[in-house]
Amino acid sequence: MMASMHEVHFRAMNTDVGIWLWSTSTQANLALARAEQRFEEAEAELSRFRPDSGLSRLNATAGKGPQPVSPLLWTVLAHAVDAARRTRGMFDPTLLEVLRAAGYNRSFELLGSSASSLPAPSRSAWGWHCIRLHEAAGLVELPAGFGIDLGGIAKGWTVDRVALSLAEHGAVLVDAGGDIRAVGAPGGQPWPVAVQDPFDETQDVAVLALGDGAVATSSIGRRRWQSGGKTMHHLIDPRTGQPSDSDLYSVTVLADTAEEAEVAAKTALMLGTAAGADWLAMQDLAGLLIDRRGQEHHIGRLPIHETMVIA
Amino acid sequence: MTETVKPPKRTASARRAAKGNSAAWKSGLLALSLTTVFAGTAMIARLDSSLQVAQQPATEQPVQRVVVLQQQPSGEFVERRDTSAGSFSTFSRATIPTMPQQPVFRQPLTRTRGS
Repeated sequence: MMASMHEVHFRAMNTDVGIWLWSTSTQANLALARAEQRFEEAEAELSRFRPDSGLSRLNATAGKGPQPVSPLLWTVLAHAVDAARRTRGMFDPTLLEVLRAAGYNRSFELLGSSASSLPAPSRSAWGWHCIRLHEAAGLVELPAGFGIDLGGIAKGWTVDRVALSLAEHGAVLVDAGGDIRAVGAPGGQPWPVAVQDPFDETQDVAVLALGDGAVATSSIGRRRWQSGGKTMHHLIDPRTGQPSDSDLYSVTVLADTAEEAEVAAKTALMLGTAAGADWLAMQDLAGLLIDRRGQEHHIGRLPIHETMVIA
Repeated sequence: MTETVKPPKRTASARRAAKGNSAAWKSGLLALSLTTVFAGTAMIARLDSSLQVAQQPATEQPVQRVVVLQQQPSGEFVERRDTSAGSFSTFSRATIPTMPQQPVFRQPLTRTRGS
């Protein structure tokens, strides 16, 4: 039986999800339906916008002592704390109150172009090291006034999980709003993945040849809104509690997993061109940095596609 | 009176004949020994050689069939049977499944974008 491409597209985690599976398996379509369920399960437990999610219940009990959480929420929280440690706090999952104060208090689809802002919370309202994970008992404790937003890392983690679960059926690529993970190569060929021009969404700046691995992009050009006469975006710098004002506009990173690529792209963007490039090089990661003037900076070995080029 | 009978004395020619018979017998024995040694050595050498062949890895087996792939203007790879490789690249049969028959993708599948 010849391998063929099976695909499914749906909305989850407030973004467009696409999954492509190169398979000979008669179970391929069934596996894709199961993958969609996995996204739904993850969103139901990890979304801060769903009042009945495990994460919302945990945030509602901040300051009330250790709380039991589901294995799924525990796992992603542990990944988030680990990412915060590795980035020395440049990635921080405890910025929920800062985001809410900036006006990002509901799903971006419902937010519109303007939002009302609240006074900025004090510096003591965030800090990843204040999360207490009681591993033996499976309990999590948050200080009063703290809240967790797993946004990007939850999406990257889910993309990785779904890609690995489908890999037994063939080569697979999972894309959730630009967080992309590939396992295997269809017909021995890499997956061609374009990098969108952050200044013009109708254009691309490069086409990557993605093998086993992942790519993710962080950009201040998306998820922007007006609040208090200021243009806001969702990439909050934990050093200031304000939207990042680094010289970078967009960062694309290649890594082994979508979770790692997502965290690294966000970190490099907030560090700026010079420090971000150094940090990526230290992590042995490849990246494409685009600064606010539109200048491109290539870091490491980017797998540019040999035959597909941007016109 | 007891008569002692002595065996008759052998003549010189008889003695020479007996000596000649002994030499032939020894030569025969020597020849037989040498033949046995040579035959044994040859047999061991043959056995050793066949064992070495059996121990060679499968990948070192001679290619039974040469397959020539020729790329068409459309980009497709067409398999052509030919015993003389000529200017074509040749591949063993085992490499065929990894060769893309035609491009799976003609344009980017998707795009990464800011999140």
